[in-house]
Amino acid sequence: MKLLLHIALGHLLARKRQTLVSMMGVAMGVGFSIAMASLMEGSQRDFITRIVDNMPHIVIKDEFRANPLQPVDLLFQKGAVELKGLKPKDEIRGIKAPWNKIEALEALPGLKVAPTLSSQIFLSFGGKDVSATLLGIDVERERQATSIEADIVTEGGLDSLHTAANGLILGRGLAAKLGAQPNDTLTATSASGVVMKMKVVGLFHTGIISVDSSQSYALLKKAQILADRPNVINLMRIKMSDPMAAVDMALMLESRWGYKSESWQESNEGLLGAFAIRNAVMYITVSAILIVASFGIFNVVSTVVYEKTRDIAILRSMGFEPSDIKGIFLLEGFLVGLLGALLGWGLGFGLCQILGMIRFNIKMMTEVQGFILHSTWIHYTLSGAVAATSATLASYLPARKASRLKPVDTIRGAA
Amino acid sequence: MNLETPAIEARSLSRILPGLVPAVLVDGVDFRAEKGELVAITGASGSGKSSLLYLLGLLDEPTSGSVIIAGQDCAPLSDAERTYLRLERLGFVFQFHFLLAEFTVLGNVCMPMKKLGRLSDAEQDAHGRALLKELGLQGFEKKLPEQLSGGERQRVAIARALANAPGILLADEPTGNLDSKNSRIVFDIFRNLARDHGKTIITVTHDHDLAKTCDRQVHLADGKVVA
Ligand SMILES: Nc1ncnc2c1ncn2[C@@H]1O[C@H](COP(=O)(O)OP(=O)(O)OP(=O)(O)O)[C@@H](O)[C@H]1O
Ligand SMILES: [Mg+2]
Repeated sequence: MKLLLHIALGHLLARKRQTLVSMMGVAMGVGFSIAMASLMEGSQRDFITRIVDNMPHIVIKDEFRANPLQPVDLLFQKGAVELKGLKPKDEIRGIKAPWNKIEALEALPGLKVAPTLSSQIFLSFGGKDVSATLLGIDVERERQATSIEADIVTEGGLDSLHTAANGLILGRGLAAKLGAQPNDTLTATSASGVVMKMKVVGLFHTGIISVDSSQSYALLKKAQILADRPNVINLMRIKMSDPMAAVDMALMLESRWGYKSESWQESNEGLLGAFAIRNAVMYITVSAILIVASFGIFNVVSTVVYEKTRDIAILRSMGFEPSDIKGIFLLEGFLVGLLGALLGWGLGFGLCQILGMIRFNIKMMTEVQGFILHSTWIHYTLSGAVAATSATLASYLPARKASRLKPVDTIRGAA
Repeated sequence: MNLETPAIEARSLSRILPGLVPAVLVDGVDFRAEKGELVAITGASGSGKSSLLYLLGLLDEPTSGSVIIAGQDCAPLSDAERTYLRLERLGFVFQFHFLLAEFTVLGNVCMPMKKLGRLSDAEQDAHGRALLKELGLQGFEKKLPEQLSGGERQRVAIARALANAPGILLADEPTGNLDSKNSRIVFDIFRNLARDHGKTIITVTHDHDLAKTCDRQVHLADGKVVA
């Protein structure tokens, strides 16, 4: 092996420029793949962080994923049973015995729960009627389990709900639709016909238009009175200290209580799927670059094999095995790939530094924005391994050809 | 009749290239060379000298007949075993020097020793230098082949062929590219190797004067030994 390496290095060092060019090919592939992976990973992590920071990690709703099984279904579980004209019985909506459940949830480590009654209401002000979603909340729990407090743009935060008899915090868009300002008193009407005077005690702005233009907050008790559903809760929003465990936890909660429990991953399935596709596109692009680089290596090793036909012949007649010859040229490909990968690591690292320094000055954005980069050792290891492997594979055909050369054919022709 | 085991022997050796019109390269050759013998193979161009030498050197496989080296019949050997015999017992010199351009003179000479792997690096180095000195190439160790004259290159090639101390040296027109002075030097070396070191040397040559200086001449015509 040492001897083969010795000869392989001799060949490569004798044609430094060619070797360097093909190494650069590999380096480009590896370098760009590291930079691209870093960009992708960075933006993806940033996105997920935003989701994870701003959305509940699990939402338990007073819904069930499947209609309850009917007795006939239970009896003939494997039968081809079709039930028609079934009249579902009127069930009282809402999560049953919510406070027991909240207590159970809060006993779990790292879990925060915000119990909510979400209902549709009409808000009237100055002759305008606007429909809105009213979230009845428990201020202290809401503060711990969600980030809404940070989005309240008026003084006092969530606690301002306590400052009026029927306090209401509106999304800024919703307030604009109504033409209402803080301290205005609106008329709220629920689907069950209860009418209540409510005072605007605050405004919030999350930046998500659909939320800002339709959502409002009130104390849970008031919302229950307005909806005429005393003591009812129909939504539990859960924040976890380990958001990645949300899928398992949601499954567990759903199997325990039956209520539909949706993890943030499930709610954002489309987005996470898009990330997967984006990553696939990236890997395809990077593979393409490396394939091109492999052609370069194939080219060098083929050239060396062609130029070194005489050397191969004398080495074979001297007592080198065909496998030795193959080894020499495989090693040459591997070395170009390996050194190219090392160069590529440097290039990738440098590219990341440069990309990290770029700033976009977009006026609409309050902060100065740049690329969000995130490199992991996996990017480096993976790209390096792929480069070295593809380089070795690229040299396989010429190496095999070299090992099959018959020394006599060459020696006869040489004079 | 010599009763000792010959260093190398060919028994009714034939090499026929298959094809529409099969080409007979070597045709039923019987041949033997003793230890310490310097044999010249002569013959017109195309008479099969090189072909015979390749067969004797296990570089080519005969269509029929066999080559026996130091009493061992090589016909039943595997490719790997033949390769090992070449490494251990045979040395080759060709008309072209076949030196590896990327390696120094000493590096070239040490190549077969490295492959055989019996000597330490230091021993290889010392042995290589000794061989070069013996062939009058002292001081050339660190030079590259391209910095040498044709005669010097050919002597380096001889040194390399001798690196693993083979009993048999096979040379195919080793002086084909050399002037008469250098040719004489090469043959002096051969004679010396045969006489003083007991090497068996079989060399193909076109040069009748040089052939005459050998212990014996074998003349080929149309792939057959004629004298
Ligand atoms: N691959 C081949 N196909 C057909 N004929 C071949 C082939 N190789 C060699 N020959 C023929 O075999 C015969 C013997 O060739 P060989 O090289 O052994 O002759 P030689 O005596 O060494 O000649 P020279 O003195 O020119 O080197 C020649 O007639 C040659 O043309
Ligand atoms: Mg010839």
